[in-house]
This record gives sequence, structure tokens and C-alpha cells, in this order.
Amino acid sequence: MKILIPVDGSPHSLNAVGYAISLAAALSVEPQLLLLNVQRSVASGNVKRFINAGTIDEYERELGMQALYAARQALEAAGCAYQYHLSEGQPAAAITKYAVEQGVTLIVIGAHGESGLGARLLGSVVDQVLKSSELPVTVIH
Amino acid sequence: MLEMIQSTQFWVDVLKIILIDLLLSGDNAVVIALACRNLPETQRRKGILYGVGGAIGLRVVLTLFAVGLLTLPYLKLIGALLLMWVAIKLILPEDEGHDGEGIKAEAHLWGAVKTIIIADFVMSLDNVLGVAAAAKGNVWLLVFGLLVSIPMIVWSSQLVLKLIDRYPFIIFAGGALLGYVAGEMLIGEPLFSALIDAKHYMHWLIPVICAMLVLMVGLWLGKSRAEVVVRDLAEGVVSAGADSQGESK
Repeated sequence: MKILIPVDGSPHSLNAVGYAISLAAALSVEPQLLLLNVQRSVASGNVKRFINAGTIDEYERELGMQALYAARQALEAAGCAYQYHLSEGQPAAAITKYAVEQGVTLIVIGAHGESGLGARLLGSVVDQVLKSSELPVTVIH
Repeated sequence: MLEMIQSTQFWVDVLKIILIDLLLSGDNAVVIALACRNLPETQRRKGILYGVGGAIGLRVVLTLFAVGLLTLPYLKLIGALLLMWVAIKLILPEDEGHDGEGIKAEAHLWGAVKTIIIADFVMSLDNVLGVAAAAKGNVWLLVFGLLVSIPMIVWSSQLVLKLIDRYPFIIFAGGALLGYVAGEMLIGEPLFSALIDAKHYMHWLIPVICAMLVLMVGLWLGKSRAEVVVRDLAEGVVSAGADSQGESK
């Protein structure tokens, strides 16, 4: 069994990690835990024109590793094995794509990531994942 | 001044300028942050300060130039054509795989500042041209456009990028708006004034044609607009109880 936990460093996404840890402990065969963080591309045409791709990737990687940090800490504290992955792109599309690639059984995701005006205008990532993914999704409040 | 504020046209122009500022604010903030990444901590703040200061300064200077230059003959024609190109560029998909073409994050303060100033110049040129066209020679509107764009230089307008990501039609609406404004600039060109005043419908027909032209050329050139791309940045495996070891690719 493979459980994918998309995280963005928010408290809600950490709740999802906590839930996945307790789920893992309850299962008779230890599931594989996969952490995923998706960075939206910071690079518009102009940014790409003036800053080289390596620097942009490095920057996004740094932001991604920061977003993963708390979740990794929690998993390591619980003694869980896991794998992590960083993607760049539209969050919902990247989550769905990675879930399919990895043959995930279940997606466990926090209810709110981004908040405020941004989320209102964009619609939440969770909504989009629910719409676009055919896999079972557990939403943690 | 009071009369100006009471007219509908004034508020339409204000709205146009805000939209153009949003679309063409450029990502000065992102470029500045990324160009200063490799600087030592103490110099980074300086680099960001100089970069932001330079961007604002450049925009002020370019705005002043725009006021003066656009009264000269032919320049509205040239400006309108340039603006059409800016509008088409806005619609066109971004080239992927720009590897190596961009400038490396500099390890020296002045190198970073140089990168920022060049980028600022290019981005400000687009912005000031768009705002100047929408302001139609009204100095108050030009200054207003300048003031609106400054917070977007200081704080990034990533929300706009995300919105475009989510609702791609925004970019087409923006391109059409810029095309329309370019058309308005074109009919302001003294060379054509006799022709345009003779046929009054030209006042709206030419901007509409320019907007449609931008959309058509943009769509035609960008036929192969790729769907949203997802890229892998890094991955790693951590076994139970082991120290985390990541590998990036």
C-alpha cells in the first residue's frame, strides 16, 4: 500500500502527516509513505530571460525543502521510512501526476493550504485534486 | 482636474492603467531576489535595496521620457507598433529550456546590481509604454500609473502569475487590452489625424482591429502552447531510523 501525502508546510498538511503516521501504525503491513511538495514556478518569461535556469531551480528546491522540513521531522520522529519528492508546476496537476506515476493507493491531504484572497480566487488545491484524481482521497481537517 | 475626475472616460483610463500595471509590472521583485541569492548575507540586503531603488528610478526616468517623446511626430506610430509586439509577446507561450541563456546569480554585489538594472530597464520599458499609451498624454494618469506600479516592484505580484496559471484567458484579455490601447495610440499619431478625423468610426474601429490582430497573431504563433508542465525538482528516500539523505537531480 502506498500513501501519498502532499504537504506545503502548513499546519493542516502536518495534520495529514500525523494522520498518515497513525494509519501506518494501525496497518498490519507497513505502507510506503510518500511526501510530495509542489512549487509553483516563479519564472515568468522575464525572470527566465535574466536569471539562469539553474538558479531558479535551486531557489525552488530550497523553498520546497523548507516546506517538507516539518513533515520529514515528524516522520523521522515516528521512525517511519518514507520517500520525498519535489515538483514544479500547478499543485493539483503535479499531485495527480505523481500519484499515478507512483501507483499510489491513497492520497492523504490537509484541508487548507493556501489561505486568504489567493485561495479564494484560485480555488483550493484540495478541491482540484478531488476533481482531477480518480484515486481515493482522505481530507484531514 | 475636478472635471477630469468626474468623467467616465477618466475612470475607464484609470482601470486600464491598473490592469496594464498588473500585467506588465514584470517580476522585478523575483529577479531582484534571485539575482541577489548568491551574495553574502550582508551584501544581499544592499543588493535588494539598490535593485529596488534602481527599478523605481528607471521607471520614473522612463515615464518622464515618455511624456516628452510621445509628443514628437512618428513616435506614437513607433510606440504603438512596439506595444503591439509587447501584447503579442504577453500571449505567446514561454520558451521552455532556456538553459544557460539567463545570467547566473552573481557572487559580487555590483554584478548582481548590473543584472537587476538591465532587467529593470527591459521590464520598465514595456510597462511605461503600456501606461503611456493608456494615459494618452495625460500627465496625471502617467504619474498615477507609475505610483501603482511601484508597490509591484517592491513586493512581487505572484498572485497575478498564479491567476494566469489558473485562468489562462486572463492573458488573452490582457493582450487584447494592450492591442486596443496600442490602437488608441495609433489614432493619436498626428500623421493620421486628417484621415481619422474625416471618418469618425475610425476612433473605435482601429483599436478594435489592433486588439483582434494581437489575438490572432498571438494565437497563430502560439499554436503549440504546451499544456501545464510539471517538472521534477528533487527526490530522496529515507529509511526508518536512518539520517535523511537526499539526492537531487
